[in-house]
Amino acid sequence: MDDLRSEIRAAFEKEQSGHAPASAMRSDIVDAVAAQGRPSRNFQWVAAVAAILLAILVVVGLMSTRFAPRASVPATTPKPTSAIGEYGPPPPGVNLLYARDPEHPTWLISYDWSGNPRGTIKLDGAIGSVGMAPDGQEFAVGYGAKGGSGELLDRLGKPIPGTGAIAGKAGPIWADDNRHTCGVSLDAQTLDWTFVTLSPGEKVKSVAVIAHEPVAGGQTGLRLAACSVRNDQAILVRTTIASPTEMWVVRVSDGTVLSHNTFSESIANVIASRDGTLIAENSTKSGGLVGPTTPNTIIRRVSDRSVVATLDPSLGVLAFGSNGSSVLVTTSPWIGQQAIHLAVLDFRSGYVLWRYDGPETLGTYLAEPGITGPGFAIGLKEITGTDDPLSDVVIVGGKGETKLTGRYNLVW
Amino acid sequence: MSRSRSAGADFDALIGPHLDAGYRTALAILQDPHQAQDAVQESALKAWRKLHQLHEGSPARPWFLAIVANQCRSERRRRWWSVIRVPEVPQAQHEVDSHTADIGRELAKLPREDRLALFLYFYLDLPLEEVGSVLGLSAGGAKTRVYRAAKKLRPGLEMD
Repeated sequence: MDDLRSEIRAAFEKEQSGHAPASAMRSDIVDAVAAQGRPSRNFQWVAAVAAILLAILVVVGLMSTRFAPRASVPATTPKPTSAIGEYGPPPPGVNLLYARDPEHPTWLISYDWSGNPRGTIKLDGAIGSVGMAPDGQEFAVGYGAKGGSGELLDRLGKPIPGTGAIAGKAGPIWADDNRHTCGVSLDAQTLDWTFVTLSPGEKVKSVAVIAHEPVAGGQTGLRLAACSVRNDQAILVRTTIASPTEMWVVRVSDGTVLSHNTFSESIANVIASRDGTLIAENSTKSGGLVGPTTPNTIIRRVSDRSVVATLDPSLGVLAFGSNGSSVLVTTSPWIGQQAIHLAVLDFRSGYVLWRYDGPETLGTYLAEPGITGPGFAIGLKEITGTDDPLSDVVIVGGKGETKLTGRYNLVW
Repeated sequence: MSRSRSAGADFDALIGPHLDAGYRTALAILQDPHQAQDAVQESALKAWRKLHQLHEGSPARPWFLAIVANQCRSERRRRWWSVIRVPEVPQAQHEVDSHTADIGRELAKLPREDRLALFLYFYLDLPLEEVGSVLGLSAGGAKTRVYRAAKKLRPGLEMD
């Protein structure tokens, strides 16, 4: 019991450290009480007036709290030259993060999630942009790039024979097994949206037609929010004039529509967990949108649409962690070329695990797959007014943050 | 003027020594130093207005902390606060013992009233009678609450 007492004390000490009460708190409060005078039950109207004044003060205080400058993680400086080199073949079965070697544009350097370099692969010079699978054990050519071929490469960067390609402007996403990719394709003649999957060594599989485009060249689009091979469940979202309007939950294996919902309220966007079990409906405020506002950002269970967590509307979920309880959020709208405000929080307890308030802006982010902790890798870019390809990398885990030395052109 | 000064002195003598504990309790509940400061100030004014409810000879500390806890619960119940807010972040501390970090996360997952019981008993070192007064329980009820909360952190725990 004594051990536990010490541990609990230490945990509360840590929580309270750095937040000592203001030195003048006692005298301020005593002055406030003195200004009220001695309470009298015969003059309760005085207390009522004071309560109203205090309410105003509290509201003003709360507003000042909301708009007060936030604490920030120290800036990601200094920025020494990247420690790049040949690290040999990357290890199998280890989650890796890849970045291009600035000295050798066709080389990719891998780092593990502790920030240690683990391997180098040398791509064929004819291969353009690549995107890594979330575990760093496979690559897709042109992933995320307009007109990319979508062909798959193995963990050493070699083409996987016999593999087809998901092409098209609606970029494919990696399934939660980190091997399949999933996408949607629009038939220009029939205006049908088809859900497609690609497995290494196979041709693209057209699984099922999910939705129909009302008019050619209209202002709607369909995208995949999640594709879970493990749970045989994908989530597709239709966006109409930049706002999500419909959501389908379909079986990955045969395209059966398990549920179809429409969004009655205007929301900024829908983010899904990679296993397809949770979605976040981000408030319009979190997206910096004008017009009708949604009261909160909501996290729902996909199976029954029950509310799992209600977040402040200023919070916009970017990604779910693999542990089913952490989320990477923006705490104010993400605006290009402006300092980003981020947090990683446990949405089941409300505990904030990490926070960042500039000075850089957000480049990219990734949740570490298949772990029990709140692992996120975040690429932060300097605000230069140009599209700087290099990013600082911060890895947020259960024990705090790790920063990679140097700046990188990331492939995730 | 002298009447005001006298009121302030009386208040300072009675409640002043407990303002720090009140602030720390509010911080433990609300997880935000600005809100905690507001809550303790509001609680102090409420305490002063309700002073006649404090029985002569009764300890002021648990009575005041109960007002603070109620004030914080009230803050959380408001729609504005019924959602998760982002408090001032505890800065990442690599050097912190991982065991402490683990138990900190486990504490964060406890129901708020369980967490408050542990905070009052283990951090503020309040006797069980005072923990009970703050939580609206008997001393025995407070002991049970503390034990059950601690057992959630350490399932095999035996209470001394």
